[in-house]
Amino acid sequence: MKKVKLEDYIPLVGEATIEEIKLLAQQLKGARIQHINSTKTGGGVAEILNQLVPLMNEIGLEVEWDVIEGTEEFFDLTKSFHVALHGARTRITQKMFQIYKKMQVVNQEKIDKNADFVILHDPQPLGLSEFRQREKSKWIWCCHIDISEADTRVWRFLSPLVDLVDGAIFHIPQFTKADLDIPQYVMPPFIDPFSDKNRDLRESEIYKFLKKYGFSTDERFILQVSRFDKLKDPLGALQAFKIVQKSFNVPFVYIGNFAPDDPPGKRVYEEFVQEANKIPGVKVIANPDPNDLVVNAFQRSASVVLQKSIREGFGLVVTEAMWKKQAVIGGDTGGIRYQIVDEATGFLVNTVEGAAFWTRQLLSNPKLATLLGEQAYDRVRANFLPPHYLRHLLCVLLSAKHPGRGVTCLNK
Amino acid sequence: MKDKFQFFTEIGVVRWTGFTADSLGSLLEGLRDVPGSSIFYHLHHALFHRQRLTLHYVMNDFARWVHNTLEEKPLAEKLASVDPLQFDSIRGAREKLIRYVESYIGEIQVFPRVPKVRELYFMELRSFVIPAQVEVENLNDFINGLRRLGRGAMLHHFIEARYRRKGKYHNDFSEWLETYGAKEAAQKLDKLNPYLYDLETLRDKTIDILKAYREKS
Repeated sequence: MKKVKLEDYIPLVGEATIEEIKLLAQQLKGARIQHINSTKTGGGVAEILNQLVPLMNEIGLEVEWDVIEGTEEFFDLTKSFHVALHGARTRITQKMFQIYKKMQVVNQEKIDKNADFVILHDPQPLGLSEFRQREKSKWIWCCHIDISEADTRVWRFLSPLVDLVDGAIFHIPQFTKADLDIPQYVMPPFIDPFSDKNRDLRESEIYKFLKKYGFSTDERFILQVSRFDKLKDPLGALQAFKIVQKSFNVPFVYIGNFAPDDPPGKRVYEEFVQEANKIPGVKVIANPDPNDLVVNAFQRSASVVLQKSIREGFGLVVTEAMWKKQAVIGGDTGGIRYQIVDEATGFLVNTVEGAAFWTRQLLSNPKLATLLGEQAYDRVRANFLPPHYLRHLLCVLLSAKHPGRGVTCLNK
Repeated sequence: MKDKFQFFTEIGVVRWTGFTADSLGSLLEGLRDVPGSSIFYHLHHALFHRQRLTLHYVMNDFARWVHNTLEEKPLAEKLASVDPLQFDSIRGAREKLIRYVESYIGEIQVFPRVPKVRELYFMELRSFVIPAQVEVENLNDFINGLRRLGRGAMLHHFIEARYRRKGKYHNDFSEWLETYGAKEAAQKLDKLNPYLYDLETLRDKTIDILKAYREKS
């Protein structure tokens, strides 16, 4: 795949945004920046860094990306932390805290002692903050998950480690934490408009991937794309479809993934399929192949896109559908509320009935769907692309370099 | 020799102040206690930085939250009417907002509260003013410079200038235009109410005024 350059974004975000990034970069020229996370592949953070690191290098910063090492036991416990930080019940033991700290000692050699800025991503490498050399570098923690309802025990363990850095970044205001003593910045994540999941598709490609799963390009359907996870409310989406079915003969497609080593996901999948089999017109596509292109083709062709979540992080799947000019009907929660401007770029709903009501409205009024879809696309184009994130991140780095509030004039 | 005009741009990131509101009572407390930068953010930045997708999006953040979340529409109308142009300082605008909330609340001591996820988060902008690589000495270059620069330049020279300037004009452009000899354009520009537009439209309006002047002279 062609390497994406900052200039490639000009048609999407405008020349001025790119110009601003270059001006900010000049203020940090030559700075050595180290990103540290827990994996190079898979997951949202790796996707973000795969985009961000080359762009940061392109603008004259010296950026490296390192990954911490860990035993199976360590990564298992960080999974438990992850679940607990999301507010779900899980078993947390004192021994887990000890192993976490021990692995940070092992990984401290990963820290670039010459870095001007060290950016830690998510909780896995957060404990490295205890080994920072305060006088030399500025440290930032990027939290990519919703920790607003975090388990108290885990948060009490992690929050002192957060307070050792110079600033923390969260995706939406509701994810910030009142008990932190450091500056907390809010900046939404982004989608990659050039990836297989989001790039423009040729008609022939759309045809091919729809046909593979038994659909044609002139067929109307309702779509939800999400993991088999109770918080995405797949059964709620199904109930909404049952109501819609009374007025419209339009099928419902649910595309989702679950890993073989994810027993809860498998259970949700089985339960969902059992229910779906009782209703005519439901098509379940589990673990599609190739995932990104299939999702892209279905999102572009859907008449209505649902995201009936009852709890959500930022919900980039909503951003992806909005990018394809879809007026999404989304659960009024988390980052979905931040993305969907109710009645302008989609609809925010709290109930099955609400989801069904707006689905029927959009099915019966394609002109409205087109208008809202265009506005949804504009909203993504103006806010949720890599240059927007990069511009904000550079501001956070400058803020760490020039601590203070309000406006600072830089005369260089 | 005519003076050169140096364009600056302001770029920032949103930061939480640590204050939230979940009711009219805590909104009033917040309006009294948050840093002035937060009042400025919700009254100015947030307004200028967003797309005006719905009618409620032309309201400042306080009015919008009171309207959409608390559903206290009469108060929302009053808060929305706070026109920053009427005040020379943030303090003045803050006092007006406080007065509206106080008089609406009256003697009420118990307020319905909204859940945490619907709270108003008082934010502020941590921003940097940076010289852009655009320095001009004639009207054509000035217009081209404006085209090339984004919201940040308009924000700095047109919106924030209002609070930093002591001179004859409310914005930086007009002052330079007068020294350039374009007094008529300078005055016309100064009468433009920035709060009626988003920043892109404001920039386009500015360019239109300058182009009309160029053609006329």
